[in-house]
Amino acid sequence: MRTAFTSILLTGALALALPASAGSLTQSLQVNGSGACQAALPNYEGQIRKRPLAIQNEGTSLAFVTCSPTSVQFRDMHAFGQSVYLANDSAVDVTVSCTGVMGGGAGNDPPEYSTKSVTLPAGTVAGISWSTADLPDYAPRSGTPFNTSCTLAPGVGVRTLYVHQLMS
Amino acid sequence: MHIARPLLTTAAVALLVLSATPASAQSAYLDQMSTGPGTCQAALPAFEGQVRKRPLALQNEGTASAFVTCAPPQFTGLADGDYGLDVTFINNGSSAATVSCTGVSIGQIPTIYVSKAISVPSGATRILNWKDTDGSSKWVTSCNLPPGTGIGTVQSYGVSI
Repeated sequence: MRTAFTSILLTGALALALPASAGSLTQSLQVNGSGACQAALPNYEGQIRKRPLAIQNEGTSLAFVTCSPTSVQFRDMHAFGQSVYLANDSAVDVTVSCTGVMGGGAGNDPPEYSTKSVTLPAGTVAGISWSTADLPDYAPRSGTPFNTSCTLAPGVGVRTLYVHQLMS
Repeated sequence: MHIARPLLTTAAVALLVLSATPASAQSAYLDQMSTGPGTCQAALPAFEGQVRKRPLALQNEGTASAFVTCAPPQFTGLADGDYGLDVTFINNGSSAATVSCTGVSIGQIPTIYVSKAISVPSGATRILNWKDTDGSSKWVTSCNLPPGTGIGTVQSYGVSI
């Protein structure tokens, strides 16, 4: 568990410290799941608990949650990308899949999707990241927020989301 | 709904001043502010029936206490050495009410839990905050709202390099 948490800390710290290029720096916004995610439909609400450290599936079946973390408008995504960290508080290993979505807002550009998954051993935290290469149509450009939809197995929660952007 | 306008105005002005003041030649304040509905949710469906999301407050309009969780977005940059998280409570009830919250640190091991409580007079606002001196510069919180009370604003602070 400690290793996983350390990875989270390093993710934020490295992104902040790394200059993207001469004259530009990365800014990173973090938000815990309860601040950026909601159950996707009312029938999932009965399973979902909003805890300070995670939005958690405390039911006995799968639940979909949608997360739309805040980003700074008109700042391009850093190649470091966006990250979602998930916690598995159950006693069994689980695989969680999340779909990153960008675009589809103003204008008629079709949205862009990228589905990824990660296996979390019991009692661990692990992350899924989307780089600019995963969402090439929208990620390198400013003005379009990143969103994700995750399928949470029982005992799994969305812990923290990171949005890494260029300051200038 | 009665809002203590002077207090909110003071908070807004303070935030603007902080945001506009460079910390040094290489840094700038990146403070954030939202009202309760933007960063807080009822903790469980059982509380949803009591909690109303109004533009200026996430309000317990039921007859029993309700738990809400607030997790505002925060820059991962350096903290400014003092402030961490401010939560402003509004009491629209007819009598004083005590709001209690547990601040939970994020991004560090071990996680720190710091419980605080404050009495909010009828028709007034009061602030609870968690600072570096509480053990962390980044906080989220879980609050127990008595009937008639609500979360007005949530502010998080930080300095970007």
